[in-house]
Amino acid sequence: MTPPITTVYVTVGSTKFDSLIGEMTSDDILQFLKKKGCKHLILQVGKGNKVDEAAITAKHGIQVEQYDFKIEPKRMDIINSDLVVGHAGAGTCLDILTARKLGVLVINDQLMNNHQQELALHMKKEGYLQCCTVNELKTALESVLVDKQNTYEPGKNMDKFVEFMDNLLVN
Amino acid sequence: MDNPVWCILGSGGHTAEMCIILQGIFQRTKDISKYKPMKFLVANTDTTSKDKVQLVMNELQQPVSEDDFIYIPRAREVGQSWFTTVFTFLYALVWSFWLVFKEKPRLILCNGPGTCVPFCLAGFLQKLARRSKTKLVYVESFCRVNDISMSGKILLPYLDVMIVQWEPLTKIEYLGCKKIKYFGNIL
Repeated sequence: MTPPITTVYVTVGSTKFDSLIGEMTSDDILQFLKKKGCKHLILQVGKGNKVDEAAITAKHGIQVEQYDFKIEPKRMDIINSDLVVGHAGAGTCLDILTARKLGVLVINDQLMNNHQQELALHMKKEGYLQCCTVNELKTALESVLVDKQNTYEPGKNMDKFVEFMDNLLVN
Repeated sequence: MDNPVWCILGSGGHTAEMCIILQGIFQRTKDISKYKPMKFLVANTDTTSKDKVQLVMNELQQPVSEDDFIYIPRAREVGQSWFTTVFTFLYALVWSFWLVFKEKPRLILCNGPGTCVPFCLAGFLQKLARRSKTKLVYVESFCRVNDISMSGKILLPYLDVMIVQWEPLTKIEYLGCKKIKYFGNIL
């Protein structure tokens, strides 16, 4: 079993993904997260709409923090969270893996970006992260907390790459 | 002085991946001198990539100065008309060929932004003319799982090696596909 999910971080990247934010702040999902131990919900909403923080806190007792963008060398909100729910951008994906966090990648079907979807599906196939559409979010959250995920080892084969480069630059 | 090693920076995600590659190289190489002097090629409007690389190189105790950056003219600015683009594109092309011929880099390391295409082509032609032994190394992006990117497809026949990050890419059939190498995940 996974330890309690105290802090949940939701990230939409550089554009907006209001349907994801909407679903993550729906009563159904918030009740579910609360049951799993969620006390803090952090939302990076990008260019999308902000939510009514006070209403959520009053109704569910979950603290909400939200912002549009943060520029920082290391994404501390990912590092400090127990679960990340995010768009399937390569950067977000890599940040979740290197921080070794539980993650659900949500495919934005209104944004026809094929290789985001490609990467998300591959992450699921490799068993590193869950992947779903907005409608499947609840199921994906349930399974990410129960199913065993494979651990991605950051930089595992970097040695081989650098050795190859060293040899290539021999003369 | 030794001919330089060139690292071509892209934008956003490309730069983030390149920074991890640079960390890998400078932390693990058995001979750091092979990668020196290193010059960074960056679009003249992209200060974010420049700042990021500077930060990473400082952390690696390989400080870089202003002289280590080479600014690339843009082939096209956002919103520029297509008519004038013909000229700015040609200018950018001639400029990159001239730079490669002048500097004769020992290595061009890039990971996918379109800006690396003319430099790699110029490097290849120069090698063909036996003016230099420039190695051309292209690291395909982490987000490419089943198909290589457009600039990767263009360049593959001319590269020394393309490193891919996912196993399915080793199975593609394409001109120059024998140059594809897969080490497992490197990032």
